[in-house]
Amino acid sequence: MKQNSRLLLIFIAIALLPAIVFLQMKIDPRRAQFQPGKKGVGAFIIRDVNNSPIAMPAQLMAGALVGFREVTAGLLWVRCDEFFDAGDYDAIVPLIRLITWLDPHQVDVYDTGAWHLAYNFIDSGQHADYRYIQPAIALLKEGVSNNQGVSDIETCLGFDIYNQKALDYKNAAYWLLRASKEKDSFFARDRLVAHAYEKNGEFDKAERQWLYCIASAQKVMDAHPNLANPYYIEASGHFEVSRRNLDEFRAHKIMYADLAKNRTDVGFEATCKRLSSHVFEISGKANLPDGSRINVELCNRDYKEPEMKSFSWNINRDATVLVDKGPLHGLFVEGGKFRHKYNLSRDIKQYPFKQDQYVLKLTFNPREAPEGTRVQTGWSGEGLTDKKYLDTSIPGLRRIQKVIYLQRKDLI
Amino acid sequence: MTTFVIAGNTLGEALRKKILWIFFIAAAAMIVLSVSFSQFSFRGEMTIIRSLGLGLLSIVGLLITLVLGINLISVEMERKTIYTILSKPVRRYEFLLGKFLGAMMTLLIQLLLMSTVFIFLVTWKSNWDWKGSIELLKGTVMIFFQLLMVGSVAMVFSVFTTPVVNFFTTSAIYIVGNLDLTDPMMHSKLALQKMFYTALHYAIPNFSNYNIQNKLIHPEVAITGEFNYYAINVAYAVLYSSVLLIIAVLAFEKRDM
Repeated sequence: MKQNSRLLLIFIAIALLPAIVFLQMKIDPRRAQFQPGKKGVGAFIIRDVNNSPIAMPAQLMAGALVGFREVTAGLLWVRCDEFFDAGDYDAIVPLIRLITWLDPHQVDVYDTGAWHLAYNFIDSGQHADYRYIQPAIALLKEGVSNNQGVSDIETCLGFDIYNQKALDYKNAAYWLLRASKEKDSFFARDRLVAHAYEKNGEFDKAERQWLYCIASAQKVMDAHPNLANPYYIEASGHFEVSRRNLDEFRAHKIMYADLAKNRTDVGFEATCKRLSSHVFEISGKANLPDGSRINVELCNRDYKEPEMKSFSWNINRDATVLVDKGPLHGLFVEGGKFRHKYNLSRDIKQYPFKQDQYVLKLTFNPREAPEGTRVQTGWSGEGLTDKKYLDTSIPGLRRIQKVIYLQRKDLI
Repeated sequence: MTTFVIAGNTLGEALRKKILWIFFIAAAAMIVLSVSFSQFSFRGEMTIIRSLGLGLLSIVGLLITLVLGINLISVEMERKTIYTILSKPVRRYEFLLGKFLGAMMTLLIQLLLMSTVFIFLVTWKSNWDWKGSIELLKGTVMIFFQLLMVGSVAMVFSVFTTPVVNFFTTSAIYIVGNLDLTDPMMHSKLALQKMFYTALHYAIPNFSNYNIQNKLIHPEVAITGEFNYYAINVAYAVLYSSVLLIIAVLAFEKRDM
């Protein structure tokens, strides 16, 4: 090769280098879309619920590194199932963290992980550890950001966590509405939105949502008039349920407004009595229909639920948070009375009682009440009053709440 | 013209190599067997099949590239056939480029054959949804261009190292370029460290650019500027390989034979 040709080749090679760097600079910001969750080897340390680092089995690590990330994630998911069958929930959640790192598009894994956090860390009396609600929410929000346009995670966040567990209907309505607007959503989710609006006291929005449900069902039925068409069958079911719910909604609206003319005095009273160390009894009376539920919240006096910007196990393990509320929990009123013994002596890890001051809140919220109770109380407490414990601090809601301040010696 | 004649001969010779067909048969068998692995994933049967298939294409493609790349020059020298060829009116760079082109054509054929088996299987498992399955060809294209760069690296080393050294060196570069080892260090607070790793990031071939499996495994995920990303990556592979081939040509020209 001639000297001139050699020089020309060297010149071309050098001239191409800036072009290569330029292309790589163009590629870098776009890569995250194709390789979500990839943060480089060693940059990501998975920790268990006790904040200790956990090691990934070598064969799975090797599998993940040579391009089988999604397969590895699938195999770890199988391992989770084994732990679930064995009731070893502590082992499941770090694995879920690992799986969502390997493959952030495994939607079921986010849903199940958050469900484990919010529902399966329980005390011996089946009360969930509410300190894990915020990590569950943070995990699902991470799932939403990694899976834009997928309604499953948004529904899980709106319904399973906010609606059923945290009883935060404002956020429930927000996330369920987001889920219902995704392309992969289906009719039933539109109805969940309307129910969440009702529970949040946004009755105008609820009525509009029911009307929207009916109109959208009608549109599909008109587009597929054949009665045997699966679209028609699904839409007609949605149409019937939505119309019935709207009729009931409107009837209730009139009925509950009338309750304000003749309010029932609940005559609420409640006490908390220490029986032995970590064992206490809450009892009281309430002029409410049988089956009405009184929510119980006992926590450190200065406890504030942390808001997590990103997922972490870093909960306040010194905090004591007992929450007994939700569709299947709370104290049941029977014959105008309620009584329940709490034995927390076997659950010191969940209820460490390390502080001196505690606050116990006993609440009756008509928005969470079953239909049989609402006939007397109304949606927003239109039909109830109480000389001592009526709480109207939330606009548009009349609820009953007694707050009891306790010392450590009252419980331990 | 000479380059293409050598490329054709290299292709013919490579296709007669039993080892490459053993790779192909093993990969095809494993792709088919991935169906039995799919039971491990509830609601994610296709995730496992797609993930295993793309992973196998990538790994077997890499093995084929290494086997071809490390032997291209050394075998010719061992057999002394290179002297006969170069004594004819064939320039060294024509010989080198012809060998490389032939190897890459062999790789492309093998990848396409494996992809055919893979796509057919995915189509069958997804109730003959050809449209969804054909998308997987994007993965084949990206793997090919990734391996084009690997082949170029092997070609550079084949000029002045033995096949064994070449195998380990090329494999090491593949691993380093695939693991984004520089990424965390590029965000270091130490300016010197940051500069060094940033320079390294742009200098080493970034094979991980071509790992687009996650998008193909989860086709429901919305991606913006998808075609653009592929086009830039193709350009990157072509330019990087060109630089490596220039280095190989310059080194080969200087080599005493």
